[in-house]
Amino acid sequence: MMQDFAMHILDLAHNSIRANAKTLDLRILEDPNNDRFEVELRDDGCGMDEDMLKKARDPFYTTRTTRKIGLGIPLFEGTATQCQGEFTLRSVVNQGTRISASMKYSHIDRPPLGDLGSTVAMILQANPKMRFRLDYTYEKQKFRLDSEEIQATLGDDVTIDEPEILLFIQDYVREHIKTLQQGGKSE
Amino acid sequence: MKSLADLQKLRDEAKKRVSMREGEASYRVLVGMATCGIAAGARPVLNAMVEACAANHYDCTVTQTGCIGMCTYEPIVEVIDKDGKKTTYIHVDAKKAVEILESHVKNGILLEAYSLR
Repeated sequence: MMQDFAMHILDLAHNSIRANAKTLDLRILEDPNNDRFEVELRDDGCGMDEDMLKKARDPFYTTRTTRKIGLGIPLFEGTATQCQGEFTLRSVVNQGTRISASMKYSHIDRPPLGDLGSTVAMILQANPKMRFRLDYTYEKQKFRLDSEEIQATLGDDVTIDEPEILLFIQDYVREHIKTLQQGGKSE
Repeated sequence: MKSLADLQKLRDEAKKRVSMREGEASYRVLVGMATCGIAAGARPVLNAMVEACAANHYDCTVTQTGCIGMCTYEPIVEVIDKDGKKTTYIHVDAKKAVEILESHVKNGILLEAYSLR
């Protein structure tokens, strides 16, 4: 059981990393006015064929060899369906994978978004070379983050996974999202 | 509110430190970050380690790894020294994580109470 969506996202991001994705896009919508909550991850990794796609939703399937079950995708699907939401998983071999869930914001069983700042920092730590983009919307206000832009600011000598830089990004994301959730604007 | 312009100041400090580093770190610290690890609380463990490393500049690299195959013992942290000797710490939390860095990585003293026997 995952505590919140930030934990699901970190878990699913590891699938993209293992799929050798060069880019991972994370889109989140929190819209209490229209009672919508959406999470979508899209990568350009190795993708899955139809057979594997079917198996990916089966908890007794995993590509790893250290254990016999794989719960990342089934847990995410379970969270979506327990909130009467929609879950979609699409994938094309050599093109990438898109996984998304959409549900009612107000559903009583919906876990909170959780600490997205920490999750973003840990995704960047897991694979600093993968381009990671966040597109977060609260009602109509947007906050965006692009790891390539951050790396460009840092230059060639400092990588994004230096502990101080990761902590900065963590706080940066936390602050901006909190501001939007409280009705303010980013920047 | 923090902006990316603030990052430039941090960059210059980080640059100095990176240039002072010599050779490979003495320890490799691996945190299990598969579904089992995350569900058991590995993210706060990794978070605490990154924070402690930022504050104390331990002679180690902290990286994420997949499932080690002992899901009931998660969160798991493995500390590997330069000779390849591996110590597996189990049921780690944020507090234990900092103790492991301070004792094992900084002072070279294994914490047997937390390790897998």
